[in-house]
Formats: sequence, C-alpha cells, structure tokens
Amino acid sequence: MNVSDELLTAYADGELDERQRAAIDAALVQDASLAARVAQLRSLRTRLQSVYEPILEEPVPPRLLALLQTSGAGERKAQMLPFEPRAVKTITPHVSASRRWVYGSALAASILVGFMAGVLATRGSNRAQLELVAGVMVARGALAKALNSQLAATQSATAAVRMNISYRDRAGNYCRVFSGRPGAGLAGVACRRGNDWQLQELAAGPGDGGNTGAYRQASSEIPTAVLTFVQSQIKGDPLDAEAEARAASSGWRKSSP
Amino acid sequence: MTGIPLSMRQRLIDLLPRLRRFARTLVRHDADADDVVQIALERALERFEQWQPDTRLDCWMYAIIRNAWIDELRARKRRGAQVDIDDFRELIPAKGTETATELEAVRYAMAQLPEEQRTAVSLVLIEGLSYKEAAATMQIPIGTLTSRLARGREALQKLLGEPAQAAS
Repeated sequence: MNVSDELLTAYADGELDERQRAAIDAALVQDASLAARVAQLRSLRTRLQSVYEPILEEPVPPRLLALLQTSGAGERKAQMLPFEPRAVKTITPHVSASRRWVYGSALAASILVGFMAGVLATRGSNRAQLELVAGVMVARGALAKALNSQLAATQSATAAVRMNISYRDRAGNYCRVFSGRPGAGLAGVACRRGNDWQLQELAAGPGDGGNTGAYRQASSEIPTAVLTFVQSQIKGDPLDAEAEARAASSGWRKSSP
Repeated sequence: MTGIPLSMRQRLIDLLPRLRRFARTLVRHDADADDVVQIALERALERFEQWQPDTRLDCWMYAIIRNAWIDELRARKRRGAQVDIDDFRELIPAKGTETATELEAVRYAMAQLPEEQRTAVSLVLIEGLSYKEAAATMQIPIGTLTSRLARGREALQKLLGEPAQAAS
C-alpha cells in the first residue's frame, strides 16, 4: 500500500476515521519504514509536550489573576505596562564547541533576540547597532558602516568598532571579525549576505580563555569562542591588507576574486 | 460594561495555565509571553460579548493571544528595536553551563520557525487541537493548516534531530 506523507501524518495526529485508520494499521505492520516514520512523528509531539507541560504547573502571576478576579469600574486598567524595558537575564546555555555547529552559529543571534524583547529605545544611528531582520541579527548603524568600509590596516585607533580579521568562509562569503572598544574584550563575527552583514558569533573576553589561536593577532583581544568559530569556518588564509581593501572596494561580493 | 459573567471569569481563570503555555510557545521570553497573555485578557474582557457561547472559549483566547503577539511584533518592527554595541555584553550567555538542555534546544528550535508554522505546531501538537479546530483558530483553510504543520514539523525535526535516547 502506498501511503502518502500527508495521510501518515494525519494518522499520527489521530485525524483519520475508523476505516482509514485500519488501513494504515495494516500497512504499518508490513512496512517497517512506515512504522518508523510514524514513531518519528509521535516522538516529536512527545518531546514538545514534555518541554512545555511543566508550564501548566507553574503558579499564575498575580497580575493576570487580578485582571479576572476584580470587579467594578476601572478593573481593566492594568498597573503594569506590558513590554516595559527590563533587565533581561538570558539563561541560554553556552553550547559546547562540538554542538555549536549542530545548532548553527545563530545561537548568539537567539540570545540577542531575547535581549531585544526588552529593548524599546531607539538610539542615534551613528552608533554601532544590530537589528533583528527575519530572525537574524543584521548589523546597522556604525557597525554596518565599519564592516563595509573600515580596513584593519588603516583604521583609527580610537574607532568605536575595530576590525580585526577578514576572511572568506567555506561558502565563499566574506566575513569580518570585529571588536568593541579596546579593553572591552567584546568581539563578534559578521558575514556578508546580500547587502547585509549577518551576525554569526558574539563573545566576550579576555579571560575567556588564554589559549591563543592560530589567527589571533598580536594586538587583539578576541575571545576564544570567536577564534574557534573563525577557525572552523575559514577557508584559506585571512585576507591581507591588500586583499581586504580589494574586497571592500568590490562591495564584499561573494563572486569577486 | 460591567456585565462580564462571573462564570466566564472563572473559566478564563481555569484556562490561564494553558493560555500561558500557548503564549510561551509563541514568544521566546517568559515575561514577554505573560505580557501577551495580559494584553489578550484585557482585549477579551473588553469584547467578551463577541465570543460565541457555542464555540470553544480556549480557541477564542488562543486567537486573541496570537493576534496580540502579531501586533507586538509589528510594533517592534516599526520601532526597529536596536541595541548598541555597548550593550552586547549583556547578550552573551553566562559561562558554566556547557550543554544545551533539552528545554533550551526545543524552545530555541521553536523560535526558529516562522510564526505561522509555530502557531500551527503549537495548537495541534502541544495544545492538542484537531486540525479543524486549529484551522478555525488561525482562520485558515484546513489544507493551509496541514501544510504549515508539515513544514513546521520538518524544520523542527531538522533542528532537533533525534533525541539521544531515541528508540524507534
């Protein structure tokens, strides 16, 4: 019996009538791969449920209960303004180096997304910024500007954002390692996608690890996590000053030589 | 204005745990999720007479929660929420926890889905609605619901892979 994915999914979700279900039951007995597929569908459901189930046991915040318990005029005026800026303590765990690639380097972005939830302020566009675009952190403001045009060889010592290393990743995209103020020990990697620079990695140092990686440059304070990231992604050598200047003048286009 | 039936208040109170869970599947951060529930409750109380008693109150609330969240997303987009490089440090996870927990992995994977797929996955796989109920809640045809659900599942499967102790 030829069972479509759609039908099998409906079966796993309990959406079939008695007759259809019996037919699939029969097919499952004969076809181990079908049975495995159903098990997979069910295991995803179980996994999702077991993660979200404990929320049902949590105490409900009083502010929500208060909305429903009070009576009389003015009851609907909540005392707390939703989406007030608040200090966000993100507890996203540090992913070990080996798993980092499994989850993708968007981990840092996911942390940023969380942070953004608490950020209301819009600030001057001359500052280094990140913006969430379609679930990806994209460089804006001074950060985008620096990534576009600031060259490691010629940058000012007082630049707010410093460019450390530029390289091409295995997919051929240009990527640049940037860092915050000297001494801040904050660095990230942004890679060119289309006309944007997407944040790939973000970490803090120093003391993040004393082990200097192969691409660590003398004056830089690039955290180990960033170096590890670069080492795993880089194809060939980092760009030298000349290659970097050429890449910048070609707009960091992937196809450029 | 004051005529919100007590029975409806009580039913909403009873639903709160599930409404909070649903909001958490949509919204990555817990406090934000509760904000969305709060907004949705306020809206529901303002227009309680729009609820059709012969329909499910939970589905009505799911729809309001989802709309409240979509409104908030749009507002954020307009504001262009941005963060300064000086604030980046706060975004870096604390060291010490070396492995991603199952909870974080699943919630992270859910957060990667487009909103419409996430809602479909949440309503059917977590809240346990039938295709028909979920489609009605999202105000889409069943065929659209099932295709969003299928795409959402596929994406989650890819992101999560098999659990370590998979026995299939």
